[in-house]
Amino acid sequence: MCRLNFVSRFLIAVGGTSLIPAAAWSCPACMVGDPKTAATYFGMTVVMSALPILLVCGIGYWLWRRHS
Amino acid sequence: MSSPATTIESRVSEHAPDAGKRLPNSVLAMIIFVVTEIMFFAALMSAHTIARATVPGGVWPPAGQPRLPVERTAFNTAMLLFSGVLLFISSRRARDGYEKARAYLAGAIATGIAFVLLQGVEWVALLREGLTMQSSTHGAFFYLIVGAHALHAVVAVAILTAIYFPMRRGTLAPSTFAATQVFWYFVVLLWPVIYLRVYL
Repeated sequence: MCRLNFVSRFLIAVGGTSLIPAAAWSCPACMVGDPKTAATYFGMTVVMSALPILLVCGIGYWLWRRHS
Repeated sequence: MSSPATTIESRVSEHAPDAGKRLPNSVLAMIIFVVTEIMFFAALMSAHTIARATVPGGVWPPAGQPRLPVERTAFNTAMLLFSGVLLFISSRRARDGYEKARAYLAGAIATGIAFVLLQGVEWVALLREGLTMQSSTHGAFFYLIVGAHALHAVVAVAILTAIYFPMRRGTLAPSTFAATQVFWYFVVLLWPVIYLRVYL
C-alpha cells in the first residue's frame, strides 16, 4: 500500500478543496439571503479589521509627533 | 508633602527639566487600556448592528417590545457631554493651581452621578414596560451594551471622586489626573456613539 508523506497529503487536501463549488467557500450566514445582511456583515468585517490597525497606528503616530 | 498652591508644572519639574514633554507611564497605560475597551465596545456594537440588520421584517425594535426613551436619553447625553466639558475646563484651570480646578471637577462628578442615576431610572421604567434581557434580542443587546457603559461610568465617577480629595489637599499627582481624564473622556465620547446606534 502506498504511504503518502505529510506534504503530499497536504497538497491533495488543498487541491481537493479548490475543486469544491464556489458557493461552499462563502459563509452560509453572511453570503446567503438578503443582500443588505451581506453588506452589513461586510461592513462590520471592515470596521473590526481596520479599527485596531487605525488605533495602534494613530497612537504610534501621536507618540512619534510628540517626541520628535 | 506639596502645598495646596502647587501647580502641575511645578510638580512635574520637580523630577526632570523636560518631564513636562514626556508622556507619563500611567497615561500611556490608560490609553492602551482604553484602546482595548474601544475594541470591546466595537465588538458589541458590531454584533448589535448585525442582529439589527437580520431581524425578520426589518422592524427594530421588534414587535411587542417597548420603544426606548430617545428624548429623555438625549438630555442625559447632553449632561454627560457637559460633564466632559467641565473636566476639560478643570484640567485647564489646574495649570494655574488646583484651587481653581476643584469646583469644575466637582461639577464633572455631580453631572456624572446624575447621568448614572437617570440611566437607572430609565432602566427601572423599561423593566416595568417588559424589556428584559430575556424578552428579545433587542432587550439583551440594550442591557448588555448600555449596562457595560454604565459600569464604566460608575467606575469612572468613583475614580473622579477618589482624585477629588487629593486635589483638595494639593497632593494629587498630575499624571494621575491626566490618566483619569483619559478614562472619563473615553466614557463621555463613547456614549453618543452608543446613543446613535442603540437608541435611534
